[in-house]
Amino acid sequence: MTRDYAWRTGREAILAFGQPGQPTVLLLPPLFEEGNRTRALLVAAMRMLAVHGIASALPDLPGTNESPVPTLDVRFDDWCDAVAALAGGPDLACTAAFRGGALLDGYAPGLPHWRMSPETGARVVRDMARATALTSGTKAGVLEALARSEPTMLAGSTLHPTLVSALADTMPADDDRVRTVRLEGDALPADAYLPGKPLWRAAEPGRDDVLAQAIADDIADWIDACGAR
Amino acid sequence: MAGQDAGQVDSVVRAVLSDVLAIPAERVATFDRSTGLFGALPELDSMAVAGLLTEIEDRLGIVIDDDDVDGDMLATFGALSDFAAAKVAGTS
Repeated sequence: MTRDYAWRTGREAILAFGQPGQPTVLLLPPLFEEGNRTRALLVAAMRMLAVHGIASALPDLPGTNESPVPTLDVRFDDWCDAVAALAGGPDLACTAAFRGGALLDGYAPGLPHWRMSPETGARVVRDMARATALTSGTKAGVLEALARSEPTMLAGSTLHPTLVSALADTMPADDDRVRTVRLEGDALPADAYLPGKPLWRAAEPGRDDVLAQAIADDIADWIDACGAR
Repeated sequence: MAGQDAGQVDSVVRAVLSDVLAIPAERVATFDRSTGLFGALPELDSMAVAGLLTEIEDRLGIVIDDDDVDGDMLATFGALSDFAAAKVAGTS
């Protein structure tokens, strides 16, 4: 079920479930370490989408997961181009973006965008700077300014300043067909609140099949509401 | 989330400690004001602090200035709850 996809000059892996001809969800995972912590959740949701008769695809973005691209070499445009290449795939019904992945779904234009706990780029960068500040003894604001000017280790990844700057200035795209879900207890506005814990913040990767089922059910309903199958 | 009282803030801080640090809710329920956190809870390392504070921000609708983050406000459950309650009061 692991295939690969071409973007600009490179190839990256893509984990795919489902049958050809089924409506397909393009998942855009959280960025950086949050992607590792939530991978089991996303894969469980993909299996449950298959029960709904919905196919799904979870790509490695350049420089993430098993990508051959070193993290330091990644630029924000690489991710935009990779998503644009993926958006040309067959049978796509919608994107499903998680956390910082929502910064990229606008590069798959024309598709409905389902989002879980979307983040602004500024908050993605601030979170990583904050996590690093407490171990390095440098204030988060100082670290963030440094990361915008030279390669800097943030939360375990050494990132290029052009990536950090572009990320920090990016917001999820405005679009007419967006559904936003968050976790119960979250104070921010959303179209629905799902039961579960913020696995992306947990110290260790975990899984939550109740949340995965709620995600799959909500995406399936959204696809139907959009008339995408 | 203006208008929350100290009891609600206490509940949110307990829930976040349980959810982010994977400490059973029953154990978090036994925490009192003097229960040690940073430096006392092995689950709360410096990387976990970032997730803890950001999740508290999200659930209480507050913003925590990084200059406010130090060992004192994380030393005990009481200190962290008081800090969060003061932020909530300041935003109401």
